[in-house]
Amino acid sequence: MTLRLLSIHTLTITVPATEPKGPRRTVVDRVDLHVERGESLGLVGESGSGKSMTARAVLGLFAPGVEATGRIEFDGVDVLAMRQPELQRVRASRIAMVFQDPRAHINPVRSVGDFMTEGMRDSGVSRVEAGRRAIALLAEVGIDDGERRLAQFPHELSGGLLQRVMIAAALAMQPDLLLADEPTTALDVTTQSEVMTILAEVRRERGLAMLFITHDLELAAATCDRTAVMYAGRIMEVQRSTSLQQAPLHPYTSGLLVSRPDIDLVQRRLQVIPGRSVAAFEAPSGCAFEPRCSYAQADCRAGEPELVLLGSAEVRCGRVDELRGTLPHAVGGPDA
Amino acid sequence: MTAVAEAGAPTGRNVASRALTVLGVGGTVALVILVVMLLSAVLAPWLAPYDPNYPDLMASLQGPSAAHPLGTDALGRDLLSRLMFGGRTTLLGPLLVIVVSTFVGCCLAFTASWRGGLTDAVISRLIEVLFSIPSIVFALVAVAVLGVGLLPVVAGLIIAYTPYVARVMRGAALRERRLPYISAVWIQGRSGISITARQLVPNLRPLIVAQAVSALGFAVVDVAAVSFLGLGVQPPTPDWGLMVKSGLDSALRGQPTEVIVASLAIVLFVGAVTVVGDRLGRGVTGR
Repeated sequence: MTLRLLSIHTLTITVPATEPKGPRRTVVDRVDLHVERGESLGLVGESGSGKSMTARAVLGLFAPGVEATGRIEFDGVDVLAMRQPELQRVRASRIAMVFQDPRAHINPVRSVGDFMTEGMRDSGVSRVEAGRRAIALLAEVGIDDGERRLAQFPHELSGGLLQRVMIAAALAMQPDLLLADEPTTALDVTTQSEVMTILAEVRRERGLAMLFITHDLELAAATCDRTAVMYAGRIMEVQRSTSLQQAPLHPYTSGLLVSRPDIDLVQRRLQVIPGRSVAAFEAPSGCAFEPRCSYAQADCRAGEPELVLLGSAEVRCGRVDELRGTLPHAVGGPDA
Repeated sequence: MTAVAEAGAPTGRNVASRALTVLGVGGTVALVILVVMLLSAVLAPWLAPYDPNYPDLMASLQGPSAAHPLGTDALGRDLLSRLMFGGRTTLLGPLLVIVVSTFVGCCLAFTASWRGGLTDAVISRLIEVLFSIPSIVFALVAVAVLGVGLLPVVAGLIIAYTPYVARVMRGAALRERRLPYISAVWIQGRSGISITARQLVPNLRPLIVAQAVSALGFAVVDVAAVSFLGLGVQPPTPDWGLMVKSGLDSALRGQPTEVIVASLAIVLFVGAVTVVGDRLGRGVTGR
């Protein structure tokens, strides 16, 4: 068996307490995930569910005071145990990241050319060669007048264009894994589809694996091979995207799918999941989703269910055997 | 930040209009004064009407006249020429102090803010200790150890001024490095040195320049003060601080021109520097 590209085992991330001497707060709770070579995995969750934290942990990027336990094996080596120089090598050449807000993540006083070529220059590529590669990369993400763009500053480019520049820059060092942290959230819908098309193209051409973080379940399901659903810092369900949409195994996933409006139906009210989403440290002792779950029973409060393997899917629900096949995946019930 | 990001060819008109927008009318006037004073110091050998050290005892202690626009000192030396030549030592010393202390201060600040933890604690405490001692004391101690002259004074003041720069820049660097674009390049695997040189320094450059210009005014006063005490530049080298000192004697003998022009030169330069530094600083923090 070949080594998995990325495999995360029981990753737990805690942040310092808000009040002095209080207990540390858990934001990511025993997350297990893996990404095969060339595969794309969507990571879906509400705000505060820990999806961004998980992605940043892959790069060893933590805010001060944040602690992570567990293992994050990239190509068989634990990222969390890496020393600084080794980590820096992995970041420079093997894992790249694209952020939600390109305008905040590109230095505003330096030109696009500077932004794109600096990484290459640091690894010993000549200035002329780096410029040539940058133009080729821009062409790859659909920007034809690369030479002119390189001389421009971030404020002269539109959001969609800037996001493409960020993707192009991420590709510069030929990474194996792309972490995309809500790359289209700040863009309007038409630009969003352009950017997703470009991402899909470069992934196909380069055999690039991707961990795609979004709160848009539909977008993840449409663009990724598999989709993982996170709630309260836990993985609730991982499935192939097509089957996730057709046959969700977890009541939470089902609730998310049902709460979307249907384009062919007139709906006066959207269906909602009652209650509010909680962070990992606020979760009850039983199933984290139990207080909001319409299928909850007394057993659900007794203890937290494990993430169990079910064919090619994984799900964390104590009643999965009973509920399997009965959970609605669209407005109006399971057969709508 | 926007003023810095504006691209465009630096034509003469462009420079003038940008100076006006950044500095305002008062600041631009101050800048012109600075440039004129610096140029007359640099070009003194070609512009000065007399040899600054040529004594004409027959014409000593004269007031302003056609031959000597600012008059002469006790030894009959032309005061305008001495003022122009004096600007060279008076301004060179402080400029050296500012350039070196800004460089060293920035290095310390960036190291402290980047490494954090123990490194930051050690550098910060060191800065605070140095901060508690008046700058003139450093200059005097340096003179006591290294002997009288301009260079020991400069060395002492470099140590005195570095903590000022380091303290301001450390805070600014800490604020700047929390911004997302820094973590974006950080996770590209760039080294701290690369990020500092290519991201932090260009972004903090307006602040660095404003800070340096403001500090220049203080440094001119400090260097002149040490000269006035007779511990810096030695006679007969012309120097504004020394001219104030010798001018005081002349004033007692009824001819106050020397002390007036030398003091005015210092006040004018320091005033102009302060105005320019203040306007630059406002431009930086106002956005």
